[in-house]
Amino acid sequence: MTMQAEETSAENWRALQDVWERVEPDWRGPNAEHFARHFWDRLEFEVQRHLHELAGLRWALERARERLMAENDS
Amino acid sequence: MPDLHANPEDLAALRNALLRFAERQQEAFAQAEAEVQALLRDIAEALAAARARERLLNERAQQCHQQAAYVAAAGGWLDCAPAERALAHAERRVAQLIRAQDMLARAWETYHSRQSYLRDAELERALPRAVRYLEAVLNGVEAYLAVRLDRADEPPEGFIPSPAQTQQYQPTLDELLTKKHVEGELRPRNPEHGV
Repeated sequence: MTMQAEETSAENWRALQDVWERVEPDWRGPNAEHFARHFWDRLEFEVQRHLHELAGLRWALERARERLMAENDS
Repeated sequence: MPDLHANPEDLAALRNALLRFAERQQEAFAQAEAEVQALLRDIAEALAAARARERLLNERAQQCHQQAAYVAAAGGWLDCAPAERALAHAERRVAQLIRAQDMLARAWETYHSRQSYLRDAELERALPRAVRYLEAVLNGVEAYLAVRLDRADEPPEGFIPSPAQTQQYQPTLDELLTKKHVEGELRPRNPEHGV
């Protein structure tokens, strides 16, 4: 069972990461360090936590759906 | 581009990608809420139906026991076990749906606090700051390139500057960004060299 929001979030993050991976190797100096330290690293951490929470929500949705569908068997 | 350490096109792409990310992430938040709310509605409907069935079967079981008492008084016997089993099944179903509802509501609450943090702290506050920062860097890069292009026209024909002379007219990107350099006010670091 998939969850649309989880797929959208993961795709969305991959798209941003792809761009960052093109920028990051060539961007050097204090501006790059400032950006990475004060914005990118934090955003990455928060997005990963969000994806982790989404996975937990998907698990809960699946269990809840199973219990709901069990009604039809009764 | 050794002086800049940044490709302006890549920085512009990153700025645009950040804005797209924020926009699309709002869609993902809305999708998560829609999926959970739809299932919670389905469970609530199923629970209402299960409770109605439980009430009906409870009444039937009670009626059965009343009839069984009359029948017993007349010396007979009426089996109410099937009615009791049906009621027990309906009660379990109600309990199952209540557990599903509670579990999903708790999961949504936990997820929603994380989602709110990402949305409010990161996407609505930090991300616009990051975009403004990238725009400042880009403006600095553009100013730097403009200065370099202007300087390219200045040396007289045949003039070959020494490395020190070349350096004195070229502000670093850091100088441009930290406003140490103001456009139009370029001065050589060593006035003896002249402008």
